[in-house]
Amino acid sequence: MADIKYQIIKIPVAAAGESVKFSADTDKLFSKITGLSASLPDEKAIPGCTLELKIADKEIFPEEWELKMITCNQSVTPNDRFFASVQEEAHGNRVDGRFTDGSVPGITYPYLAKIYLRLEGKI
Amino acid sequence: MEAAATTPVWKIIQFDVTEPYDIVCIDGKLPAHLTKCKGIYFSIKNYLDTAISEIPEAGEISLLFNSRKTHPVHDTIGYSKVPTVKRPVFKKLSQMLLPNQTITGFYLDYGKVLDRRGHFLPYTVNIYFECECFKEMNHGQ
Repeated sequence: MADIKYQIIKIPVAAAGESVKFSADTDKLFSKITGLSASLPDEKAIPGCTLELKIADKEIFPEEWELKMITCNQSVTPNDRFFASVQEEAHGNRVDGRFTDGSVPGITYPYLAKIYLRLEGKI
Repeated sequence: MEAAATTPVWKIIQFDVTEPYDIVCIDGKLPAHLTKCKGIYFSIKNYLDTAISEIPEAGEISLLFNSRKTHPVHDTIGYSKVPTVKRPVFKKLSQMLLPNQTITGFYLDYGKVLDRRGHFLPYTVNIYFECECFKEMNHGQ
């Protein structure tokens, strides 16, 4: 079986409704992104959060894409949490995006939003 | 030989529902390079502090593709303020897309999105389209 690596992108969110730009490079030693997932420290914060995402300047998730489209709770097995429809080249390609908080009442700030990349095909 | 998997192209058409029993006209376009819509998903965006945690039918949606030539979607949209257990799954569709044609239709609110005092809560709906495009345009966009 090909080598697999999981990479985390951490996004600091300071206040309700904040919109945070982020970028990260994928590991150069892996050829493919075969899935991605996301989590927040409090699952109640997920509704209304949006994630705009580009990989190597190609639009993956358009503006207004809701974070809930790529999240699951802990009852889902770890492998099934990954949104495997995303199949892109890694090779050090840049992941750019914008995370926007959903302003759900009762959420504690600041927090770290996390995006997980599954990389395969070690070079 | 196994074909290389490619990422679908996702597009969103969004509209607002501001009054109970609102009828909203939907009029949008998908980019001309998209050739097929193979999935659709409706979502009431944002957190709404509704009186009940799940509203199975917040409203009704009807969509016509290719400038009213086909009518593949007539459905209801629900809302849950409980965080999702599983990731939402696109409803299967197999709709060829002609270039530069419109997607039109309507959304009818059922007046069910209410807070604890019975007041209507305005909301936003996202329609997600999962599409395929010409192979040579699939990368480097």
